[in-house]
Amino acid sequence: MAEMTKRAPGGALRRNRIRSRWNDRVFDGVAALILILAVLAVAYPLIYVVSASFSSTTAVMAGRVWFLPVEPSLVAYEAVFKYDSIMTGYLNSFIYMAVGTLINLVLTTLCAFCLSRKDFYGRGIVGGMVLFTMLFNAGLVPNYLLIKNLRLYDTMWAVILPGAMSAWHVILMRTYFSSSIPEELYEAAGIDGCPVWRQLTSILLPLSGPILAVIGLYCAVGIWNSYFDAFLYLSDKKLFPLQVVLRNILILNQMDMTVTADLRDMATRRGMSYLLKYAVIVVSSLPLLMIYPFVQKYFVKGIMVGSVKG
Amino acid sequence: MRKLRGLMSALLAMVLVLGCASGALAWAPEWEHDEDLSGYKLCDNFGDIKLTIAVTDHSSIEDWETNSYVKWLEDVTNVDLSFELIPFENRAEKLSLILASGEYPDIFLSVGMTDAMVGKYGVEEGMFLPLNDLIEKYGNFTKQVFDEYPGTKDRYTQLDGNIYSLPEVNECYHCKLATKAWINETWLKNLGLEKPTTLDEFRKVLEAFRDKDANGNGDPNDEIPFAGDYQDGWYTNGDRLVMNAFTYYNLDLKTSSTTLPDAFGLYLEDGKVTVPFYKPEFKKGVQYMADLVKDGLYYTGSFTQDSAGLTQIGESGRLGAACAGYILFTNLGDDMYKQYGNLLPLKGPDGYQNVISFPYDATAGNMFVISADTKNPEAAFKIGDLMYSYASSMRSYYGVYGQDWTNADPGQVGINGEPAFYKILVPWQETEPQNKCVLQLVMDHRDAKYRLGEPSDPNVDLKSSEGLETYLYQVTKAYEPFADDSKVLPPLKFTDEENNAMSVIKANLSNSIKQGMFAFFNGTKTLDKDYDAWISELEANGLKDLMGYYQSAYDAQYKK
Amino acid sequence: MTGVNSLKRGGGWESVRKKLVKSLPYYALILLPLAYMLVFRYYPMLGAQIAFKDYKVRLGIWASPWVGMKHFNTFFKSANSWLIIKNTLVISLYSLLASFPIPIILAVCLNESNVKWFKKSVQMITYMPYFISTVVLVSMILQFTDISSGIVSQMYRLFGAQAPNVMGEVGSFRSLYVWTGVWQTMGYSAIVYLAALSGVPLDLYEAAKVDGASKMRKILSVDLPYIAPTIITLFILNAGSILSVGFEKIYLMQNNFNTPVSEVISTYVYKVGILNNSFSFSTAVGLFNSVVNLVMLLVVNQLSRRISDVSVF
Repeated sequence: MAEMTKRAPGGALRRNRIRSRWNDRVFDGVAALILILAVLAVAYPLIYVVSASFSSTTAVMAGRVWFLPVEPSLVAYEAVFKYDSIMTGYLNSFIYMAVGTLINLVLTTLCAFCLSRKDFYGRGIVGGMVLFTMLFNAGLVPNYLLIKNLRLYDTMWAVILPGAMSAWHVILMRTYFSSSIPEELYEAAGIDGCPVWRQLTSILLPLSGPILAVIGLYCAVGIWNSYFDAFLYLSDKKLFPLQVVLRNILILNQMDMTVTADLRDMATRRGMSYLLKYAVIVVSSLPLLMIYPFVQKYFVKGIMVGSVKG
Repeated sequence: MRKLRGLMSALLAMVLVLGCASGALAWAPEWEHDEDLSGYKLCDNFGDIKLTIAVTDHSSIEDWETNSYVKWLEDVTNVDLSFELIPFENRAEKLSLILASGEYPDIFLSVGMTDAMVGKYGVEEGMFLPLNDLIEKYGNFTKQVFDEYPGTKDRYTQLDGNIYSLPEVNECYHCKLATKAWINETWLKNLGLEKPTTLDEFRKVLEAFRDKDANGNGDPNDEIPFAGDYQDGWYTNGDRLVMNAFTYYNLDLKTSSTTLPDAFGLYLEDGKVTVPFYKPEFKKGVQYMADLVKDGLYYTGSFTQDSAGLTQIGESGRLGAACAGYILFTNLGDDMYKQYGNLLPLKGPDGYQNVISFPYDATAGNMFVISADTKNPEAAFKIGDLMYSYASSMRSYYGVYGQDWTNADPGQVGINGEPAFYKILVPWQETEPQNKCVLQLVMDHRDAKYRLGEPSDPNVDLKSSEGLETYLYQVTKAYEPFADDSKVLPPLKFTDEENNAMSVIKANLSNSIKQGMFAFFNGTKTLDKDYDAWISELEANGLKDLMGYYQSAYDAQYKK
Repeated sequence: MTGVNSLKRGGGWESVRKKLVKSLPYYALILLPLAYMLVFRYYPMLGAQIAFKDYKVRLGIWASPWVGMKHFNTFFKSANSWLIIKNTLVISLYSLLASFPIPIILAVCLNESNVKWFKKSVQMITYMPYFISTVVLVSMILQFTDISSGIVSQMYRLFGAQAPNVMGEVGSFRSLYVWTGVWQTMGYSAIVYLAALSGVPLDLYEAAKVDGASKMRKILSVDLPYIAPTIITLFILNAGSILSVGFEKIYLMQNNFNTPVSEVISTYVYKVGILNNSFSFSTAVGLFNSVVNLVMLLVVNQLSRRISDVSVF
């Protein structure tokens, strides 16, 4: 009886459909509003940063910049780019980022894959070991000594290896694998005599686009933005990544009596430093903003096509 | 046979002569004040001795290995130098880590080594080389520095009798009296007011700034009479000006001031380590300051803004008066900058008048330290001694003789009125980044003769950017009569144990002091109700203990 | 009796061995990550023993003398240690609760949008603040909240009200710190949820449509449950960082007004430990931090397992 009412043509069903279409419209409207608000909240400070970087020194010092550049000038960018070390900085950062992300993805995927498989005997213990590393950090001195003893000090590897596998990422990946890739797929493969490593390459990898993209992005950004490891473990200027170079330039322009007692010089620089810090952000984040669109396509609905059917 | 031997000896003699000659010819004095540095050739062949030096890296230096100054050092000494760079930002952390790791370069040069580090790694752990004998035997220039600045040798002799570090000689004359105050003279003129000399006159001027249209833009309400900052400005604490009209007040309320004696107001009165908090004059001063804030005369934003905020007020034409090492709250040399003139210390209601001075900074810092594990202690030390020569100090700071600087022209006069010491040809900031010199990143000997010997056009516009040093020189001279150097605590040495105990006290006590002071100034707390509780809080956080540590160190090291 | 027991024991060990052997391919794959962890994470942990020692450079980590709990005592006995711990906890919890739901909401809204250019550009714009360095972020905060010229006070003045001195008020420090943090990371954190959402099987959507579900209903019954494991995992992981409030941003935002609430463990350790070269002390406090984090993680993990069957460990 109830069924018949539900499936009655016209009348009730049409009313239901109309109501839900209206509900959907409301929802869409609210969702769009939320997104627009998010953009506005974020946009203003970003515009400010860009505008300030293209303004003149006195305009920024006097606080006259509010939305658009005031007294537009490229003074800040000239100041940044006259240092050749920027170019080596860019190059180094790219290399570290590429190599580091690759190593990261390999280690993390291997680890997460094994941990996501129920028939991996000992996964609880290994998983616990991974988690433990997230909580307990030995501290500055033992890590520094390790790098020195391994003779990695002042080499590219000192920047890449300490962060080469993060427990956080492993756990995130494992969660994704566990929930998105049904056990049946593996079982089917197992019956076909497919060895474990081949299950990794032919089942797991094709289905992991989104999570590999995300973790890859997070790693890449993390390495690109990292300052502390490079600052601690590098000594040769030729190896400095972009962040270290930029921070050095920025610091150069802030008042400090220990480097130069020439007050005149310090005073002129000080004005510049107001602008420079904004230009530095633009210079350092531009490449990352440009690669984002390439990664974005992985976050599209409906990647997971053709799931298991019976 | 005899002929062959004769030939051999002749050849040998020739080689020796040539060798010596070529060594002596590697560098010879060029400038009129260059010293004879022939005794600083440390080995026969370049590269026989290799030394690694840790230095602070800076973007304005392209490459230490190929720098002209470094090449000059290598020419004079024949030593192969290589550098371990420590980036300037967060330098303390990296230095700490290097020191804790145990693997040291031969020399630490101007890396921000603190007294506590010398106490810990030098005295306590023996990782640094004692320099006493080396100074005796080889320290020509070092001994000259010690003679020129009496008391320095004692200050740098640690509690175990050894000298582990050498200071930089940087006699920044205007830095000695860097707590200057400035007032907008154009505004005074606009309102027909005289520059104030007493605190009450100052207050009246501030009231006029507040109420009238001092900057002439038609709006009487946009002026900010008096402001400061407590984050990163150079001596921009406004309370110093007011409080020093009541009692001796060196308290530095900057957020980052947490370890030095002035974070706690420590000073000397007749050989006793004192703080201002217990004096009735102190309370009067705090009340006066609180009233200034309440009446809108001292900008409340001062307590939370940074120097960028202060500069914004200054550069946008709204600032009446401020304290600072120089007129840093405007852009150097432009119209806004020219509106300000200096304000001498104000006389308080009880007639007290004082300005804070820093007499011990001429020779400061632990610029030069040698690792105890070095294989070439003699060579390492001689390089340090060499850096004290004028020859080295000119080249390290200015660059190549003949290209970047040269002899002064006859008749040229320095900032101090004496014959100029040198002439600059190319100011280095114009060609930056550069590779000619290393600025202040090594140890050097830039005493008053040197610094004030910079040629100065007697007709220079004092308010232009070129005239800055001359202007500050003259202003500083005007402040001198008001300073009382005897009240300043000299630098003291502490054991590692003492430092550890004090660091816990200091972290908590500095917070208490600053929170309380700000609360009083801001009106959140009042002197009648909350003062006694605050004093108790300071004592509970270890104020008296801290004073005790300083007193016993002072008695041991200075009361002879 | 004994015979049966020994047989049982033998059986137990046998099956363990068999299972290990069967898992050998996994061990082969995980060898590299394991080796990495052992070298770069576990080996240095041995160095953490300096928390219980008085580290001396000449003697090195192993030969330095033991002092037991001395550094821990120094920390706890210090006048303000409990206040500092409380500050850290409060800021951390506030941060967690405030910043957790927003990236999820953002990701869901983005996922629903069908206008490609809108979706892509919103994603990109909200992801950008992550690249503003802490130093600049704090200087912008100071500038925007300045009572005379900051944009916040100008807005207040538009409505005829007096702007509060935000940085000078103890009460607003935490909110300022937390919400600027949300602002900076919401777009970046939303990415992982977006990725998870993109994996929802299309036929689930089809089924929902057939049942006449509205969008709201679909989100509640398809999307959210599907990404629930990710959400919960992230929540647990964040709980396990409860005492790790970062150093740089707080240090830059500290002023003499807000230290009663802004002095956290990391800033305190910096002032006492690092600035004073006392690495044993800072390692000891770091260990304390880690232990508390571990406890928190286990508690939340257990709770989660009971409630939702999803757990990290």
